[in-house]
Amino acid sequence: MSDTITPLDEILTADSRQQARVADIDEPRIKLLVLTLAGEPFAIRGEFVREVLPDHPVFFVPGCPPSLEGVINLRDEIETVIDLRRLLGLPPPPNLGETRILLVATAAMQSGVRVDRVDDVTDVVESAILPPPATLAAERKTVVKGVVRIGTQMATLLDIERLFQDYLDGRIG
Amino acid sequence: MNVAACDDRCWEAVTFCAGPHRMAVEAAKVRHLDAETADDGREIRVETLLGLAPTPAARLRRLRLWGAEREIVIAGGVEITRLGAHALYRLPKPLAVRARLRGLKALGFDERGMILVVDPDLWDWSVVAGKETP
Repeated sequence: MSDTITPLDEILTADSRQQARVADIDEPRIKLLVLTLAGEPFAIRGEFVREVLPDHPVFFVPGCPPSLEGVINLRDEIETVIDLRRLLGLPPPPNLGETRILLVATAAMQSGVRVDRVDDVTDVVESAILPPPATLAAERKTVVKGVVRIGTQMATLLDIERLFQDYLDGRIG
Repeated sequence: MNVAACDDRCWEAVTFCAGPHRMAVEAAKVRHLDAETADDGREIRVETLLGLAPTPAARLRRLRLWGAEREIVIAGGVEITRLGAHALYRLPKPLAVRARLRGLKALGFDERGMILVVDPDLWDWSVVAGKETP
């Protein structure tokens, strides 16, 4: 027998499993809605997402910025629909029929936001959110909170509050 | 909340089209509707007042509004429409802040779809006032 006899205390000290669980329970967790835009994974903090909407006819309003698709009548409330691809400077989707509209509300405004696909809703600890990479384009950095690993991919966590404020201020869209 | 059952207020409007878009002006602001005339290319169309590109049309109609030198030249049909108060909606904030359609005040909905409610008092009438200058 080649087992190494190890003092109990040493074994218990080296056991990080319990400590990891304690760390996870103590550390604040945030809910993220994971979505896809132009083949890339993105995330929005769940607290800002009120609903994922079924398909709705969008009424076009002329004379609006390119990112503002139009309005929808949602249970007798009129909401705008903003194309998140356009807002981020990404090319338009190849098939509008497969996209989804999220109803997103911040302190500044509420709007429908069109995304390619809603993938998941997940909880992550705050420490799992890493700073944006230094290589990120300058215009993107202002609206990115960070990056976070979701499964095998790194998703870009959007600063939806900043996005909406920039839209209202006319800086984007 | 369904307001239709308890709200019998309604709004009377003159509706017309500016290109593919249905527009409405409060009927109380309209003084007279002239007969159709041919488009001689010199008329200031309602699309210009709205900030849109005029669409080609063979026949036009002049809608005279209350107030000096105020008339809208439109193509296509004109209707008197009555909308219930429940069919009218304030502009949502993202639209109110960024829309550039001049005079856009509210949205209306009926069985045919959306109506853009515009207020002629918010238009730049200096465009029309200067039309006779060579």
